[in-house]
Amino acid sequence: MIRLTSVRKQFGTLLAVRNLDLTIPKGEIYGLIGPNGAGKTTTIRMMCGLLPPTAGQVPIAGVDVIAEPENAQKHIGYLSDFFAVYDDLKVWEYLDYFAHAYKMPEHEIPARVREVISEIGLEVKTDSLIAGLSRGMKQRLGIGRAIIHKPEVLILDEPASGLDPKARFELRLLLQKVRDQGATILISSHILTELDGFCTSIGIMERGQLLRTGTIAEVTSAESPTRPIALRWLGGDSATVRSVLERFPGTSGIDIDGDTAQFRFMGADAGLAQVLAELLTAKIQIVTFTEIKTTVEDLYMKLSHHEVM
Amino acid sequence: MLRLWKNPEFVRHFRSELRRTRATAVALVVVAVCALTVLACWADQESHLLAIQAGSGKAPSAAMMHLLITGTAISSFRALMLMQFGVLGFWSVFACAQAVSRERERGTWDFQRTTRLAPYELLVGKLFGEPVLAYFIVACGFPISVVAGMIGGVSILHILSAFLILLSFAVFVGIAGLWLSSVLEGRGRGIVVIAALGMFGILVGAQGLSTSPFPGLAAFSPVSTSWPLLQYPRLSPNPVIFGAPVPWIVMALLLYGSFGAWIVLMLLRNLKRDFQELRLLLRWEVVGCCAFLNFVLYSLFSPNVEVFRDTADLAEFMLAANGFFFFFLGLTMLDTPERLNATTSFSLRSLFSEHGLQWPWLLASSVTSYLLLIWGLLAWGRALPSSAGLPAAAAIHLLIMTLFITRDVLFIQWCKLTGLRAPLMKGVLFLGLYYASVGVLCAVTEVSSNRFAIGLGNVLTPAAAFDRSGSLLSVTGALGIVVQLMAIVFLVSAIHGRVGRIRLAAAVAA
Repeated sequence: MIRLTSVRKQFGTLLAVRNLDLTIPKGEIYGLIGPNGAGKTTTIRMMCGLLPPTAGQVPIAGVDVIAEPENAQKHIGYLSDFFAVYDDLKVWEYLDYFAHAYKMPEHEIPARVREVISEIGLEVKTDSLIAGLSRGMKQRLGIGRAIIHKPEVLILDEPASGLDPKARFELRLLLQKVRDQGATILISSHILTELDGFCTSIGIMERGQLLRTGTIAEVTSAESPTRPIALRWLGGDSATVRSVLERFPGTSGIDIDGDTAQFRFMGADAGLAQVLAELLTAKIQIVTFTEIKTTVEDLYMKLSHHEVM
Repeated sequence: MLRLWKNPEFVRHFRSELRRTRATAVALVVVAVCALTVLACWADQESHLLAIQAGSGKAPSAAMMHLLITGTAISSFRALMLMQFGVLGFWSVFACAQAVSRERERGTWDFQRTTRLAPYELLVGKLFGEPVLAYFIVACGFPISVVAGMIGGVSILHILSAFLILLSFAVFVGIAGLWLSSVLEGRGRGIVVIAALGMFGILVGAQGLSTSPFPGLAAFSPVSTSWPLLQYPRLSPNPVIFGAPVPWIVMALLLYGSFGAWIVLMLLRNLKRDFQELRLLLRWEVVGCCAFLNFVLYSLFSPNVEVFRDTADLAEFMLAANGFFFFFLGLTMLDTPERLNATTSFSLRSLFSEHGLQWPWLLASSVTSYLLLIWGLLAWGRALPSSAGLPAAAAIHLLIMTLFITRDVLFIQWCKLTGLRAPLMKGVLFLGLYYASVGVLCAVTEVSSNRFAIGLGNVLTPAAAFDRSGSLLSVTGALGIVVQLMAIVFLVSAIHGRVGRIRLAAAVAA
């Protein structure tokens, strides 16, 4: 759906994006993460046709955004961190304006405007002036604007910055709804917890380059093939626990502290089940035995050098 | 999509500016202002007629009553039209000059750029949408003005012509305001508004050009064109095109149409572009624009106005005018460091490439200007005394002017490559500083030696281009050409070095 090929953007001697290759298949929710100055916004602006690349191609849904900007915009919904709206319009007028600006068929517009207002939960505000809406409502309206023309690709640049936790939660629900309708979403964010459990794949960007890209599992396994496991038991028989764990060739990095332990395991789930079974056979009273999930934040902290240009 | 009521951008402005309550209030205010104007005119006429009547000692007659009514009507018509010119003209330039910069400032511009609206739809929507309230005011005042004009004895053709001029002027200043707003969008809104108001003042003040050798240019001012339509005594005779008189209204429409077309061309190409990517004119369009500006001046020249004594005076004026044209057109060709193609190859194809350096195109513009100068001198040679050897001298002088302007444009292009903040503004300021310094230096040296001061001026400024001493080229003038050629070569190599460094940085980083 999104395919960037050898994309480069240069501002004088500064290379903001360096030969970026990125493919995001249909239906993905792709999280683009990186420090300030990593080139995320420049990449996003190139995807939206706001900035021409110095070199490379940026086809979105098969249409080159530089060669056919107006045609490509049909497939793109864009929302930036600075979600400015026209305060002097009413909610329905705002969406109606963008529906017309995206050249939707005239007869579909009223129904679509009503549908989007309902999706973003602003039915009671339909006839209200935007100036009177809260920040969270304005942000939802911004999302409504971005999806009014049913784009196949939704590009969001730091959409949750400046929102309170409740508004963030609402935004997340709304984006999940949009994803369920089949849109491909690219989201860049600093708030990494926001992307956890929400993105199907991520890209870590630094100094204009993608350090890693793929599904979270792929990126995690590429970084380290072992999985961190934590366990807690009753009683203090740590020597038995250690001896059981050491018996398995897939375990490493065993760290026992009182009645808790952490170790790394390389192998399939069946192997891990065997470890648990062996511990139980050794009469260890297991309370918890869990795999520590690698969060997006963990991955980012591990992979990023926090270097900016 | 040119249909205004289907244009989303226009509809947006219409909805937000003309909500029912506001529209009603505005309409009532307009009607009240019109009524007050008519009453004021009535009172003025009445006191005037009463004074005449008291002087003559006669009783009021039906004829006087008729005079009072027609007098009130015509003065009301004039007052209402002038008010509408003020409101629509000023509002149009003021609103359009903020159209893009305001959107950019509040962060909505990118959203408009990512819609499927074509640049011409955005242009039309903003042009008529931004000042939609002013158009509504004029629409409310229109029937009252028409009735007042007709009662006052103004022909309906004149009334409609006055409204045509009003609309044309509003559209023209609106387009110019939009252009300013788009090319200065990186600056604060205040600067854009000041520039727009300055431009508005210049256009209105263009009326003063009616007594210049180019009286047609006064048609830019609505004062020149509307005055006769409002039944005022003519301020000046009709302007001329190639010596043939044409009505002011025709001249105004020709000027608004032709200059407006160039501005629209620049807007359509750049309206949806990022500020850093603005390219006002393509290289070949620069040559065309230069030819157009020269052609306009030659065609509007009136030999009847005795300012130019002979063809040498005309050539000298055109030389100065071309200096401004070259500089402005040179600025429209400035390129971004990433796209500039500062080749060392001397093939015609690379020299005249779309992203090549500006000097070959300035040279081409200069040749075009020279050919038009020869044509102009031939055309007007019958009306003005000819000067011997003028074509050769004009060629040398135009070459000097071209070299200096080329140097200045290349300097600003170099500034653009250095990573300076606001390189264009700083480049122009540096050049201003340079010319001011040379001026001071010449003034100081003039105390000891006038000849040396003139020579210094000839070497460091294009003063030699205006040398009327009789010799084709003075020694210092020739020295000036050599020095400027060296400066140009130096600047071209500096630009080449900069571009090379940028490419190298990209290659190394990649």
